[in-house]
Amino acid sequence: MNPPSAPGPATPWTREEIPEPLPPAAYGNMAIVLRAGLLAAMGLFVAGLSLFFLEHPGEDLARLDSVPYFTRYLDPRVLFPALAAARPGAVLTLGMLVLVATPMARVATGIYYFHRHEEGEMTVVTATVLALLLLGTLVLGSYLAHLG
Amino acid sequence: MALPETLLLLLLIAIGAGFLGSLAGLGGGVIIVPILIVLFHVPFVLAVGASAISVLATSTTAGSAYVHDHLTDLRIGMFLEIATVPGALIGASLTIYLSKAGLDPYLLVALGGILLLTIPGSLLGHHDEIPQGVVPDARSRRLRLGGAYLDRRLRREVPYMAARTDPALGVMFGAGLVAGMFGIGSGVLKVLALDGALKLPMKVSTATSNFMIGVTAAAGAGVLLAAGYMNPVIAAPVALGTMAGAYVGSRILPGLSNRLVRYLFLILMGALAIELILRGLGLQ
Repeated sequence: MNPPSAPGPATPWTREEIPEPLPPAAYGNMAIVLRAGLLAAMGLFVAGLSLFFLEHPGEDLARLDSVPYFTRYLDPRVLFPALAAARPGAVLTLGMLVLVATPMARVATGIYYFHRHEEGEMTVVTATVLALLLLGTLVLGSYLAHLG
Repeated sequence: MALPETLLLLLLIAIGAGFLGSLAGLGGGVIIVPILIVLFHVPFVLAVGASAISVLATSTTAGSAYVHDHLTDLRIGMFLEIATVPGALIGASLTIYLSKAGLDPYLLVALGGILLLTIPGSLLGHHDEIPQGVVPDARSRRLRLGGAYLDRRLRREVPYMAARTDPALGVMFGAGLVAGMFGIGSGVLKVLALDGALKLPMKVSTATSNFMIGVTAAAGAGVLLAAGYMNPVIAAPVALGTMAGAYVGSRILPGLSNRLVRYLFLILMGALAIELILRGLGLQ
């Protein structure tokens, strides 16, 4: 068994310690993920707001603050039929979900490339970040929604 | 005011915030929450949610360009997200909890204080463009937290390694907490960790900070969205406006001297911060 690694010497580093960069495809694909997610979210925002104006021309912003109008669309059983019916709240909520999911998709892309690059520790670090992001959205947020 | 006019005004103000924020190098997020609260009377937690979405959209726009230029250090960014993401999750949860407990006035005072504290940090410049004599700690060496990029101005490859990871993780947790609580990018704190503790080259530090702002904002926004504290009718025009303003600002930035804009932006931010504190203390 290898002995536990000793602390690194406090000396300036050498060029050999610099890791090989991830392949250019990793950066290219991450940029594509970001742009695709952003464009999709912005398109959904514009479409959703346009539909909202058509359906609620006299709505008061203050009323929307106090009514959990959009929360119901977080349930996929409500979201997808509402999207099929072009409900503005559903379209806007999907835009928010896409925007929040975009950095998560980039992190997932990072896991793939660190794994392919055989960087075990960085794969674990990146997977932990993704797990925390998903935990926050899927578990913590739902728990707080039901907190009295 | 009817909703279409209100949202059009919101869109125009968000464009202005994104534009000025981009020219000032601070992002529009720092003034979106106070504007929503002061001008539009949006409840604190919904203003934080809308701002988090706008920070997410703006950083994603810039992030795609930085990633494409290979300036973002994915290793260092992912490593530090281990600290910022839990910070943001706790921060967003705290805001929801305190808001439910009717403690919005304390949140207003806290945000005002944070914004005022940001001002001196924003006036400080980055450290040397390429730090010399960097000594990586044991963790930096083990995880190989370093890289190299091609500097077009210097016309050479610049290799670098991260220095002190413990203080960087501590500052990043704080940056995540502030970002999650108040829906701001907290780029000043992130740059403090990347520049001050890790001693990264300026270009890498800026690009990696932007990458991290997006992931951290997603953590906070995800909690707020899932908990039902996100109103898309407010958040969508704010996101569209700040993103459009930031895009235009970044296009004309190279032709402008941005020192004056930065000072004006900081004065506006300071005035909004004082307004928040006065409101929180019941003096407004």
